[in-house]
Amino acid sequence: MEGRIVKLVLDHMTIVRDHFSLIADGTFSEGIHLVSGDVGSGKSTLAFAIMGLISCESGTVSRHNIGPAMLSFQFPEYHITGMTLEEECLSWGVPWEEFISSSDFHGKRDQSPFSLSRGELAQFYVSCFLNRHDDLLLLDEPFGSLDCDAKKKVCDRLSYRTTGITIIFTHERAILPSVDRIWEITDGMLFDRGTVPDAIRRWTGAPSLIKKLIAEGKIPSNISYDDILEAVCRT
Amino acid sequence: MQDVRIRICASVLLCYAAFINIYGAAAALVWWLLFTPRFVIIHRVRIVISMLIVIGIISLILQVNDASGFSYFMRMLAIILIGLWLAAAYQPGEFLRFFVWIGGNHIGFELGVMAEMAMQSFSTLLFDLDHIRMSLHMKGIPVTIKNIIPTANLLIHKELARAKDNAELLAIRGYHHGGRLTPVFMYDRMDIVALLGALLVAVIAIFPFVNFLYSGIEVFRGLL
Repeated sequence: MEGRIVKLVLDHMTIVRDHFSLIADGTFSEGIHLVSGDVGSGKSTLAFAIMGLISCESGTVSRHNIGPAMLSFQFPEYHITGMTLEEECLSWGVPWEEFISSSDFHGKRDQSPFSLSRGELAQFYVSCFLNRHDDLLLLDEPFGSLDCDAKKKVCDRLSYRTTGITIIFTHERAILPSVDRIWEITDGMLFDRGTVPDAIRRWTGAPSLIKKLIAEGKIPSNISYDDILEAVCRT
Repeated sequence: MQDVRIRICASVLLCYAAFINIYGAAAALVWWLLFTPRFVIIHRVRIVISMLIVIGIISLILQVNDASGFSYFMRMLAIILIGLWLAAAYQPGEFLRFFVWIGGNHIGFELGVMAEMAMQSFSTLLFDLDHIRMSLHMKGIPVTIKNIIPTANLLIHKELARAKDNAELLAIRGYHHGGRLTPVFMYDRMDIVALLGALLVAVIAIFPFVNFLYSGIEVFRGLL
């Protein structure tokens, strides 16, 4: 990975479904990207198309120097292919010992993945993904089914991912990780709002608290919970 | 074909005709060519091809053993194509209307609700299968018997969870036994023509007059 410049280029990618279309242009470079948009705006569709799991009407998706890539589904149970958590870890190419050193699943090695709640399963998979060190990691609604503490933990884990391209597709508005770039899907188009912190001003669908802070001239340095808290407390 | 009653009735006649002999199967295939949108309705080509491969293997074995493989293949092909057409033409709510029309607001309604829930499960099952296939693909896991077991486990778990959710939903909404529905059906002239065509197919299967005609020709030739 070192010395290689990884890049994902969407060149007028057009996805057309029954009553829906999405056009995406842009270059995703190394770092953490947030793709925000309302429910039904096409975030999951875009993630599936980038991963090559659904076809595009026109345009291209080019991967430059990108090796292993992975998409985390919104509904984590679809990932289950193992009978135990250990088998499941191994199916992702992650040894249990390596996985357990960075997760909260002690003593659950032989437990069935079906015995976990959806929230636990989501946390389990995020831990698996972050142990894989993929060049391209797409996370489709990684905060769904999680409580506030679990969301913060996921955000914390994401901050340790310093290499590769990470794209988070979410409509989460309260607890988000620190990101490098913000993208937005509105009216069937993907818009690049630029790098953070400047992107925060241009983020039309920003959470209301962030909009209020901008109006008061207290622009947060990033969009994480701690950054927002710092801006709120700023005098 | 707009009317679900005609569609189901035609399907039953055609499947019965295709099942009993090869003349019925051949006639059912002709009917399928004439009265359905044919291959346009087949979206999941892989599933159809998989089914045809399985039937092809069984047919080959039968052909080698007692020369009945070709007949078996033709009959099964006709039944599968009719089944695919019936499933593709389905519109939500149709089976409820159909069963209420047949069995009234108590037993008919219950059967209709069950049929609608089964159809709903079928479409969600296909959605589940798509996602499982994508997951296996991303993990680089080949589709083998060993790898399919946890997948089947997942499908059963999800289906049971959905059944529980549906049962709770019906109970919360006060569903007890039956309901009230006045079914309305729309049909046009082509629906009637297609139904008559299906009846003709059944007649051909029940009274294999092709055989009779063939014997007649043979007799005629003998006389000459």
